[in-house]
Amino acid sequence: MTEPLLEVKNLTKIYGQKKNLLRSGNQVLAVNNVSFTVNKGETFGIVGESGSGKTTIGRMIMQLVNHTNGDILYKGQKYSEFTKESAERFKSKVQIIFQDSGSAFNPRKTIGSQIAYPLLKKIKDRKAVLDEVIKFIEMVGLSKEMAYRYPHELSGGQRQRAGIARALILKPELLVLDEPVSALDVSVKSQIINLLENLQKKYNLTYIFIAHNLDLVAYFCDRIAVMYHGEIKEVGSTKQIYQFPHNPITKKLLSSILTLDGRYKVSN
Amino acid sequence: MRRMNNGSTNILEIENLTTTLRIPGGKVSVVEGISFNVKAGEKLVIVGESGSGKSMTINSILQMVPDSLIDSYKGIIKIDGENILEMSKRKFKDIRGKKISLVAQNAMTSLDPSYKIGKQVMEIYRHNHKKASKEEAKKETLILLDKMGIKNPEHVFHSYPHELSGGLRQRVVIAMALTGNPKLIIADEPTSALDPTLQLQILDLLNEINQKFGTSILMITHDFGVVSYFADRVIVMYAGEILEMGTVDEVINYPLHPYTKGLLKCIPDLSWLDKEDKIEKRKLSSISGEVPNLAKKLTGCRFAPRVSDIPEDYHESSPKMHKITDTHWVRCTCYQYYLKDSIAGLEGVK
Ligand SMILES: Nc1ncnc2c1ncn2[C@@H]1O[C@H](COP(=O)(O)OP(=O)(O)OP(=O)(O)O)[C@@H](O)[C@H]1O
Ligand SMILES: Nc1ncnc2c1ncn2[C@@H]1O[C@H](COP(=O)(O)OP(=O)(O)OP(=O)(O)O)[C@@H](O)[C@H]1O
Ligand code: SF4
Ligand SMILES: [Mg+2]
Ligand SMILES: [Mg+2]
Repeated sequence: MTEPLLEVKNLTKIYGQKKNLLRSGNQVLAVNNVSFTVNKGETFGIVGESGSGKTTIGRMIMQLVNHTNGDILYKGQKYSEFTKESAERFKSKVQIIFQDSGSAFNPRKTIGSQIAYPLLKKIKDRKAVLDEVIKFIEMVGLSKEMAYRYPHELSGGQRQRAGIARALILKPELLVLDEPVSALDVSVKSQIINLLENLQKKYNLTYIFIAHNLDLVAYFCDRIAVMYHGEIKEVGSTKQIYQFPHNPITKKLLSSILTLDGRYKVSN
Repeated sequence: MRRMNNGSTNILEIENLTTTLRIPGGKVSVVEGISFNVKAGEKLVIVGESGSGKSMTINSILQMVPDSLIDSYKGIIKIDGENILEMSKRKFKDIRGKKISLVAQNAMTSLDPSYKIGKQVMEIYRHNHKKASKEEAKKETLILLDKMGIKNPEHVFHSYPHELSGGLRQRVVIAMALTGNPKLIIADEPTSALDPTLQLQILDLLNEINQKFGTSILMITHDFGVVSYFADRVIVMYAGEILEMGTVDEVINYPLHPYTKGLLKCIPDLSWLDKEDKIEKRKLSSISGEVPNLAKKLTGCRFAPRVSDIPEDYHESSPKMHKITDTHWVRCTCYQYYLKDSIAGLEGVK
């Protein structure tokens, strides 16, 4: 299972690129020379304090923002060398789910029509599209009537599931999950993590999981990168990171996990 | 102020509170018949799924439910011995800030982006201390910022909110809540939006305030780790009702309601991390089914539709709170089912 799907090499992002010599004050070095590899079928966690650059990495992988320096390779091909076709293919194979993906639904359209939207561009047969939409709605644990409801008629957890259905309908290979359950309560959190786990097994999906819930990260991820001020301080398997953290930043982060028996004990 | 027989005073007493909202097409009771106290110097935490009525409970205590939404409050809410539901709006305004005050979830919503921190804290200070001069307010504000563990109070005083980190902003918001020297701080998920390191810092700060000044704290959270680290006592809410109440030890280590047990099982288990490789992690469980729609007429136990393991004859038609110990209360008799194999009778609960 160590076939690399995504490779990130010396990636750097500076926000507020200076346009001329007079504008240099407002630059933010959000991501600084970061490298890691995500293998097919694994869940790769990115953790770190607020503002450390996690979302920025996710957005660069999605091509929602350009990177300033370095390379990202998908299946061995550099983003900068994508042809028109490979760029198109990439777009349907890589999807993102945000903390508030549920609220990204248009309030005036039904859930079903919005889940169908990306598919309608590819398949002309409307009946086939409808069948597919129902299939995915049921797969994320919603009942098919939900297809005919408007976003405000669903709970937060249900909307997030619908958001996952919409992201999955194009059968992506890689999902970037940026705090997908942070806004949900414990029970719905578990439901959605279980759902993601089952889907991963079924379709051999690859996940990048960004989160502050370090207990869920431990449960869900195979490998983890710890970020601090735009840099990756440590990468390792979940057990390595939680059991034998090397970097003081990692230790500090882990020791702030609150468990039922008090603070998580970090070995030295 | 009423003295309890064990000698401690209650800063907050809620008896049989029902909060009813007006919604399109009718009314809905989002809090129904709840009773609890907060003792002086106590840290009480409310947990429960989304929509269970946690925020509505504290919005009732603070009289913050918008006029357009509220139909009625029934019951008693006593702050420092006085029922606020029988009080003039003016009198309540005086109590707000001086006896109880709120720490909002999102620091950004309680700070005005266009004014410097100092001006904003001073303004609240002078609202709570009408006779204070400007100089006095400034002096006290700087002292308060310093007490919040802010390293450079002068600098923060002269900063705008956006110039501060999330942690500093949350400290400023807590400082604002403390300007009137309240006896009770109410905090609605004060750390949910923070990263784990910051969360711990803010909890430690609230702990320190509680210890140094004896301020009581009533906090809402989703996170049982926070409960275990922070609280003295816990209330578990579901569909507008209290299902279980007890000390942290009682609720976390000896939960008796199936709902509490269900919530606790949703917490990922970390113990596999230091076991041998072949020991698998416990699968994450969740509570099946969904929270009931409060707008529909609900009869009997609101949780029964989601319970599968309890035989028919243990269910009560309208479950009441049962006393297990002086501090531990649980709604209904299902606990007897869980106890029947292990221990006969109630004496053996602990
Ligand atoms: N569009 C933008 N323009 C300028 N600066 C930005 C922009 N987006 C993010 N930043 C800055 O880049 C840095 C990294 O932000 P990013 O959102 O990637 O952090 P994060 O690790 O996802 O934080 P959080 O845990 O709070 O979501 C921060 O300093 C942030 O203020
Ligand atoms: N503005 C409103 N109009 C109508 N109903 C409302 C309104 N605000 C809240 N409610 C309802 O009141 C009930 C209790 O909501 P409340 O906000 O107290 O839940 P909560 O326990 O704080 O949940 P969360 O954990 O999501 O904050 C819910 O059923 C909710 O739908
Ligand atoms: S035993 Fe009582 S509290 Fe438990 S589910 Fe049944 S009716 Fe509800
Ligand atoms: Mg982010
Ligand atoms: Mg709430």
